[in-house]
Amino acid sequence: MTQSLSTDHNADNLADLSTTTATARDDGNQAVLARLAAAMDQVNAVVLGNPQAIKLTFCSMLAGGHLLIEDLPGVGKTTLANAMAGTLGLDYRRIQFTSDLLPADVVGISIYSQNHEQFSFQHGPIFSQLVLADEINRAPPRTQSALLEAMAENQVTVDGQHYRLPQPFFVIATQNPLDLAGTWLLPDSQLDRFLLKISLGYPPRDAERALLRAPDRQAILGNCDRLLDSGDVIALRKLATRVHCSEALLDYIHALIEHSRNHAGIAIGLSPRAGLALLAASRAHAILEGRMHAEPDDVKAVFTALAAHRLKLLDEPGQHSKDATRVASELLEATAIP
Amino acid sequence: MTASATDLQRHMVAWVMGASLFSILPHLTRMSPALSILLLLLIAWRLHAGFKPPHWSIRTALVIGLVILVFWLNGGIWGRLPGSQLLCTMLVLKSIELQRRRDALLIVSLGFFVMATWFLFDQSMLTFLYLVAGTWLGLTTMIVIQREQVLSSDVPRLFRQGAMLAAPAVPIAIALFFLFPRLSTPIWGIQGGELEGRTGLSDSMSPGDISSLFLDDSPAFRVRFDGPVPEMSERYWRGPVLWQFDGRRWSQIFYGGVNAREKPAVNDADLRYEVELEPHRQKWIYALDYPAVYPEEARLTLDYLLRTKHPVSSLKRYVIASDTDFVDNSANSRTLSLQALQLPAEVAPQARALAAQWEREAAQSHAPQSAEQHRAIVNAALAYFRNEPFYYRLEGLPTLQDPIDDFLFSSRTGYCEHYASAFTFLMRAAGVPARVVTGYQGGIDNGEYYLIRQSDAHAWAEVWLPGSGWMRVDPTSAVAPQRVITGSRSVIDAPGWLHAEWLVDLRNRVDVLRYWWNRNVVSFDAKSQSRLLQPLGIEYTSHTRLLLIMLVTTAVIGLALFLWLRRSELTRSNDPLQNAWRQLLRRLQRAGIDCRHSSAPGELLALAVPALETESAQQLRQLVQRYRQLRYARTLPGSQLQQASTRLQRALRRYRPRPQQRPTFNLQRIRT
Repeated sequence: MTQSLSTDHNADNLADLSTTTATARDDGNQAVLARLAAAMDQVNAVVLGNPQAIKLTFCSMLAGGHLLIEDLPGVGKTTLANAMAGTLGLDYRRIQFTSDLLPADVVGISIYSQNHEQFSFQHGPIFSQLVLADEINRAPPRTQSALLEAMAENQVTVDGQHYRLPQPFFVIATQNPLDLAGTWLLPDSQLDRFLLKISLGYPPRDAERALLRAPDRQAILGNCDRLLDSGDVIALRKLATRVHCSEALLDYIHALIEHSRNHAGIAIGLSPRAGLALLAASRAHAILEGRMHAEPDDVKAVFTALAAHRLKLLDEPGQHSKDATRVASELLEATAIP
Repeated sequence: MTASATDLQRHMVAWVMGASLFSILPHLTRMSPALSILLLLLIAWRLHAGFKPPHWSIRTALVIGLVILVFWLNGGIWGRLPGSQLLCTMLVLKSIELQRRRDALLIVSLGFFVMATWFLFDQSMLTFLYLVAGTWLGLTTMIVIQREQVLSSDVPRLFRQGAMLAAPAVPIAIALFFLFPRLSTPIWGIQGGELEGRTGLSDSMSPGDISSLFLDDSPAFRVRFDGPVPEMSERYWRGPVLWQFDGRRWSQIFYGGVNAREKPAVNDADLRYEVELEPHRQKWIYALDYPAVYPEEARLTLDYLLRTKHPVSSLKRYVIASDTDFVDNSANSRTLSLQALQLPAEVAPQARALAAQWEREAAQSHAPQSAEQHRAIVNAALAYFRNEPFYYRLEGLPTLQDPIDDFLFSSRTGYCEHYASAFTFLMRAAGVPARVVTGYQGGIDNGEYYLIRQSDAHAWAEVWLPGSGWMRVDPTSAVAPQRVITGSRSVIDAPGWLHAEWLVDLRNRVDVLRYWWNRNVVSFDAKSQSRLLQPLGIEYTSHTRLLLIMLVTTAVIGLALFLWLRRSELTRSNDPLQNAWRQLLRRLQRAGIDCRHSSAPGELLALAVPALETESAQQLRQLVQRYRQLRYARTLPGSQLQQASTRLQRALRRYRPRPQQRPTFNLQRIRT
């Protein structure tokens, strides 16, 4: 399966899409789709051996959602975020979350200006199109909330003043599941703000050899071309919302959600919002597959990343992440495709 | 009931009426033409009329009028014939107010019942097959009623669905067949018997009676010999014995009803056989000469006919042991001797003269009234038939003024009944006691049994010789020996294609089937039932006990069916395209590909393509691509989509995966 997601295949698919699908036939889309394929190839060249994760990253971006990467240190979380930043021509800021990070450090602060004799708002690092929130679980809940609120509302409120965030706005957050001392695990309700949660895992054997042999990652990152600009991202997001979803596909999504609510091992199943998110993510995935209609394959491809952090299981929360992934696959196994 | 909106469509009416017609068709052939034509007209009207039923007064008048008609035609309302006619009539009348789906279902269900009543008349295999077909059609009609639209390309699939609906009933039907308590006598056997047309021989014989059976190829009875089989020329199946002659017609006499005084000893019986007699609705059964062992319900008369109490109105099986050497009434009583010499006054003067001449000639060399004299007279008569130009023929038989004289001296052409009749007359006129015996002669070897057809009907004579009793003399054998040695068909060419060799052969083959059906299905009675249950440790089965066993068995089967159907309900959906897709998945599973209902199309291809032959994989790829397009992409509008879906369903169902043969597979496994 992973082979079909390989890089040259993407290009083929997207080229197909631009020629065969009516809605994608106009030249603007064709060009954008070609650039999207090139962008994915470039990220794949930096982060070796994990095309699935990269696809989900792009999928999250096209669906207009945010991405949470949860994994051990050193498997390439930050590299992935940096590669995305380098490839997408977006205004990029990185926030390293620490235990003393304050909300104001994220969203910004109103400062009294002597010169102008009034408060002026100093924009925090969150006012960027692509934000990397590194090790988000090390920040205190107040700070986490500030970030998540901004993600949910696409705006920041300071001293009663609303400040709109730039568009497109895309957050990639990382967290470390092991380093639990002195960290604040994100509450379940907040996890919902992330469209997808992925983990990278160790690279496969070949990829790891290539990694060892290749020059420094930082050098490669420095050579990244900006292949997509903010206009492209907005256009692609718009295109994704127009992806056709047939009744049969909606039936399938519905069946999955319903199943999650009746599953014996799940305390709280997927919410209607999760259903909408699943639909959006499936649409975005269809675009990546070069189709203007979503299929069960798209749903299945995004489901685990989408559902695992939203499901509240009945047993103890210690192995939460691991088990939820397994339960999500169980749901997929048990749900017949209409 | 006032007219309201219908939820039916025109094509459904045609289906419903077709199913109804199919179910009443056997009955139609049996009712009076007036009634059946009336019913057909009503059906034709229904096919053309709209959904608004006629005014209630018209409907009421029709109901009352038709009920009276049925009553009047049958002279009553009780019994299976008027009862079934009434049912058919009601079925057709109900269709007049066919307006809603509910009515259609009711009519089809009533049709099932009407079909079942046909078993009261006929239990042959043909009937059974017809009723199976009718049930199938009815169930398919029920499916059609539930559908908004029926394309002609759907019809085969609808019939398949109908068969699937009927299939679960099969195990229950089999269980009921074996376990339903049997009554020792059929409840309807006697009531309708008198109304049915009789077939085969009657209790009297006039010229033309037996020759009229020549064209009838239907089976009269079948015989299975246990032990030696007599030669064809020895197989005379005795039926009614006729003593009384009125110049034209031979008939039975009162003494024929008297019980036999002497009976053949069982120990002497050298022929044992089982007869399966088709219902002929007469009060006798057939056997070879002198039955020593015969069924309880029959009694042996003075002239050794096996008489039964009731007409044989359903297939009858019985075992006979015959003693061929039995001496029949070596000393004849005076009354019987006189009866055996009875002659009508003033008929056939020429024949009387001829007989008198033979008697005189015989008296010259033999003692009067001795066996030798009688034998000489018999031989003279046989020689006369043999030497004079007599013909054994069917066609162009002249109507005779005097059936004896005209036949003997002018036409000299006739069938067995003419010869038997004339011969017996001559014997009596010459003072030899004689009688006519009717029955069947011969029968063909049809595999494991002998088949005797109506066309094997025959008449011969018996003469009484002092000391040796009644002896069989067949004058026909003097004229046409082939008749007795190889059968009626070998002597007279059957007219037309109807009796072409291959057709007769086919009929014989069909009769083997019919025989099997009769042996195993129709005559499955209480006795066979208890024999069946014995190995299971149920020695004696009362009806209550049998009923209990039956209920438990059907309940178990029903439960199993229920669970099975529920299972398939879980895996099946109402969407035909999806069902076709799932069938494809099952086929792939059987081909060893680990796909499930939860496998998405893309995943399926990734799983299946490497495991299949190149061509097969290519076909699968195309099918999956079409399925994806149709199911998930925005493609075609309404009716086109429906058609494309039907086409794809067919293609999906037709696909057979061919797995790749991979000898290298194991090698790879070993290497890793």
